[in-house]
Amino acid sequence: MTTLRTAHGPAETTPADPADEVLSIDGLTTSIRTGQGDRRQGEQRLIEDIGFSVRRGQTLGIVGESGSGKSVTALSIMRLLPRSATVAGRVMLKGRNLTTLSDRQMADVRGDRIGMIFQEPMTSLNPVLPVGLQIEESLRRHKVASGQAARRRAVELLDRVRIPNAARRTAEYPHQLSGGMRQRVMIAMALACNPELLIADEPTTALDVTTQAGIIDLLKQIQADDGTAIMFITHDMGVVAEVSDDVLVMRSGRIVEHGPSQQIFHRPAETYTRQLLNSVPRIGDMRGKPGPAPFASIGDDGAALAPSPLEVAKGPVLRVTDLSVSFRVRNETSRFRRTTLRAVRGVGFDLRAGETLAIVGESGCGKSTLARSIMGLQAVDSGAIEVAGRVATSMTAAEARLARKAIQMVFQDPFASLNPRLRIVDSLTEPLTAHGVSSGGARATAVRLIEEVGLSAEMLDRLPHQFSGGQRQRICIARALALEPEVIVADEAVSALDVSVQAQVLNLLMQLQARRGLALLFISHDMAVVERLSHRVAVMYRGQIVEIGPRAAVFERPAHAYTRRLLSAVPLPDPSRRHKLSGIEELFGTPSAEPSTAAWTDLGDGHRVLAA
Amino acid sequence: MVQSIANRLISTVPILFVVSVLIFSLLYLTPGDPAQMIAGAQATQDDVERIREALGLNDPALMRYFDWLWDVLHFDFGRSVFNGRSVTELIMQRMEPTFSLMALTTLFAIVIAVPLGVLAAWRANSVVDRIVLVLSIASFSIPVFVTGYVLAYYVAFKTGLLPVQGYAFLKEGVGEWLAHLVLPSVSLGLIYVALISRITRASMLEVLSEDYIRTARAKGLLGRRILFVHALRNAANPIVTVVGVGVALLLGGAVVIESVFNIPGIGRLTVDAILRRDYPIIQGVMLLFAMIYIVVNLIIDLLYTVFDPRIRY
Repeated sequence: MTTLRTAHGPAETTPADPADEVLSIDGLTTSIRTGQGDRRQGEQRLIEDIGFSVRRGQTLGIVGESGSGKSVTALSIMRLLPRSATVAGRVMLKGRNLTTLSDRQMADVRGDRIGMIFQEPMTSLNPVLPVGLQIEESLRRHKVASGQAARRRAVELLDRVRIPNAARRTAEYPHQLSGGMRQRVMIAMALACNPELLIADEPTTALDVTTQAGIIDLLKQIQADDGTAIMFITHDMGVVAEVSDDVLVMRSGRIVEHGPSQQIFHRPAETYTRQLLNSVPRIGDMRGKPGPAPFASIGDDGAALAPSPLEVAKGPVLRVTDLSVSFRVRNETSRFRRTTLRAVRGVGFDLRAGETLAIVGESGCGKSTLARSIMGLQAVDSGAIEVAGRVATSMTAAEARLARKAIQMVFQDPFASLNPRLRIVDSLTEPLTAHGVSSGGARATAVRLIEEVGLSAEMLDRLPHQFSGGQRQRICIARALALEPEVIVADEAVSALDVSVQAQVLNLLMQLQARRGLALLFISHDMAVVERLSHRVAVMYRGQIVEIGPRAAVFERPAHAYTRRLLSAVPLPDPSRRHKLSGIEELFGTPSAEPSTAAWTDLGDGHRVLAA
Repeated sequence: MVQSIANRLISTVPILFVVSVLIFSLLYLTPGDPAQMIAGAQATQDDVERIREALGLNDPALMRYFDWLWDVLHFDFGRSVFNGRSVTELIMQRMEPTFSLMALTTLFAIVIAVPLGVLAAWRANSVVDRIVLVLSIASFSIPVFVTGYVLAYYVAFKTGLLPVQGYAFLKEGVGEWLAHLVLPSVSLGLIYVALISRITRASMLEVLSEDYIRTARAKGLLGRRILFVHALRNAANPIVTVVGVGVALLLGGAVVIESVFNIPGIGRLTVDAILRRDYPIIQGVMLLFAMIYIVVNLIIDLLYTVFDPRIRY
C-alpha cells in the first residue's frame, strides 16, 4: 500500500542536538485514486514534497486554509488515510521509518508513540462508551497498564487534564460532558501512553475562546512537564502565534514558508504568508476609527466599497423589549424532575436601518435562541418584538407572515442550509412564490439577486454541491434578500468559512447594507470580526445582555468583567504578545437559574452595563 | 431502568384494550349469522338456537363483551366449537414447538447475519462483500417451503443425519429436540439472515465513517475491537429494530414451516381453526400474537437504551 521514495536528499540540518529530533519528514507526497471501480483511474496529489522536523519539547504550528493539506499531512504521518491513498516519502519517528512498517506495526505506534487530538470533541469520542473505558482501552492495548491499574491511571489522566471529580467522571458518557471537557478527555486519551509526539488537528476550533485558552494552557503545561513534541494544526493565525515555536505555512498541498514563529509573523518572506496575515482581522485594529471598515482579503483589494458611516435617520426597524425564552429540560441529577432553563432573560435592544448590531457571547449564552425568537422560529415566554413597526409577538398568523417578509436570516452552515436536491434558482425563487410572486417574475428577480451577490446568472440551474462554501453563503444571502427585507439576522454566518472567503462574504454584506440600508443583527463569537464590522455591540452572558454600546466604547472601555474576560481570551496573531493564560480558566458547571436583579449603569453615549 | 419498564408496561394497557375490542368484534364482522355458520348447512333451527345461546349471542353486545373480557382476564377463551376442548389448554400444548422454532430461528439468523454484515461492511465493495450480497439475494428469492423441502430431502432423507419431520418435546431430551428443529429453523431463518445482514452492513458502513472510528484507529486499536466494540454498538439500533420486526413476522413463516415439517405448533392450530371457523381458538391465538408483539417491542425499546446511553424514556 505504501511505497518508499527517497529521491530527496536529507532534510536541512537542524542546529539542535539530533538526538532531540522526534519526527523528521522528508519528501512526503500523498496521492489519492480518483474515479470509482476499475474504470480508468486518475491520481490526485493531495500533498507534495513535504519535509520538516519536530524536536523534543517543540511546538510546530501548521497553518493554511481549508484544502491546503494540513490535515492530510497529519493523517499521512499516522497512516490513517483511506485505502485509496498512496503515501510516498520518509516519515522518521525517533529514527524509525513509519512508511515501511506493516499495518500491525503501525497500529502499535499509533496511540503509543504518537497521540492525536481531533477537531470535533462532539463526534470524536464514541457516544456509547464511558469516557473512562475509552482511555483505559488505549492503556490496555499498548500494555501500559491493565486491570485495576488501568482504571486508576485513567482517573489520574482525567485529573491531569484538570477535569473536576475525575473519579466520578470515568463512568460518564461523552454526551454528559461539555465541549471543553470532551476535548480534555480527548487529550487525556492521546496522552495515555506518554507519546513522544502529539498531533493536534484544529483542537480548539470548535471551542469558545475562554475554553480554547484553557486547552492551549493545558497543552503548554503538559509539554513543559513531559517534553512532548507537538504538531499543532490550525487555520487560526492567533492560535498559531500563541502556541508555536516554529511555523509551517501550507497552500494547495505544498509548503509555502517554514521558519521560527517570530520570523513568520514579523518578517514573512513569501507574498502568500503576508496576504494570509493581512487578511486576519485583529482586535485593536479599529482603535480610533469611527465606523466599520472593509476586510482585507487575498485576491481582493477590499476597498471596492467602503461602507459609509451610519446615518441615523429614522426610528428603529427592530425593537426587542424585555424578551424572555425558556425551555423545559430534563434534570441532570434527578431523572424524574424537569427543570426550566431560562435561555434568554429580559433582553432588549433597538436596531436602526443601516446599522449593524453585533451580539457576542459564548456557546450556550442564548444568542442563537434570541435570533430564533426574533425570526418567529421559537415561542417566547414574555416580552415584545417589533419589526418595522409591527408588534410581531402579538400578531395573527397572517400578520406574522407579513412581518417575516421584513426580516430574513442567514444561517451558520452554508452546506446544511441549502436543500441539496433543489437547484439554486428554486432556492432563490421559493420565498418569492411563497409570498405570491409569479414564477416568471421570480426568475427575473433570482437573476438580479445572484448577480448582486457577485455570482453569475448561468449558475442558477446548478445544485448546491457544485459550489464552494463561500459561494453557497453568497447564495444564502441572495435568498435572504429575495423578499426585500429591512433586517437581516446573520447567525454565525461566516464562522464555517476560511479567513479570506470570510472577508469577501463580510465585505459583500457590508456593501449590501450600504446599498440597501439594511439593518444587520450579526451574531458571532469572533471578537475581531465583530470589531471591524459593527456599529454597536451587545455582550450576552447566561441569557442576559450584560453590556451594550457603541463598538469603540465596548472594545476600548469594556465595563463588565465578562466582556473583559472575553476580550482578553482572544489569541492575537503576534507571537511577541502572548497571553498569561493561567488567569483564564474555563467555567465549569451550568448557568445558575437565579433571576438577576442587578441594575443597569449608563456610561453615556448609549453605553450601558449590567452591574455584576 | 425499572421505571422505564414500568412506564412501557403501563402504556401497553390501552393497546391491549383496543386489541381485545377488535378480537371480540371479529365474530360479528364476518358476514352472516355466526351461529348458523358454526352449526353448518345441515343444522336444524334448534341446533342454531342452542349454539347461539351457548355463545351468549342473545345478550346485548356490551354485556357480551364484558363477559368475554372477564373470562379472558382469567385466561379462559372458552371452548373449541369443533371438539369442545379448552382453548387455553390447546394453545398451551402448542406453544412449546412454536416458541422453540421461533427462538432457534432468531438465534440462528443473528449469529450468522451480524458477523456477515460486519464483514461485508468492513470489506465494502470487495469480493467478500459481493458474495454476501449474492447469497442474500438468493435467500430472499427462494420461498421458505422450497428451502424446507430441499433441505429435508437432501440433508435429512438422503443422509439420515437428521429427522425428516416431526417434533420432539424438550422433556424427551435436548438432543432430540434440537435435531428436530435444526432444519426447520435454518429454512425459516435464511430469509432473516439475508435481511439482517443487509441492515447490519448498511448501518455499519455509516458508523465506520464516523469521527470516533478514526479516533479508535488513532489509538492503535485493532480491527476486531474497532468493529465489534466501537462500531457495532453504535450500529446496533437499526439491527435490533429489524430483528424485532423479524420476530413478529416469523409467526407467519412458522405456519408454513410447521406444515412442511409436520410440527404440531400454533401455526398449524391456527390454520386448522380458520378452516373450521373455530372462532374461540382464532380469538385466543390472536390475543396471544398481540401480546407477543407487545413484549417483543418492549424488549426492543429496552435494548435501545442498553446499546445507546443517550436514549432514555
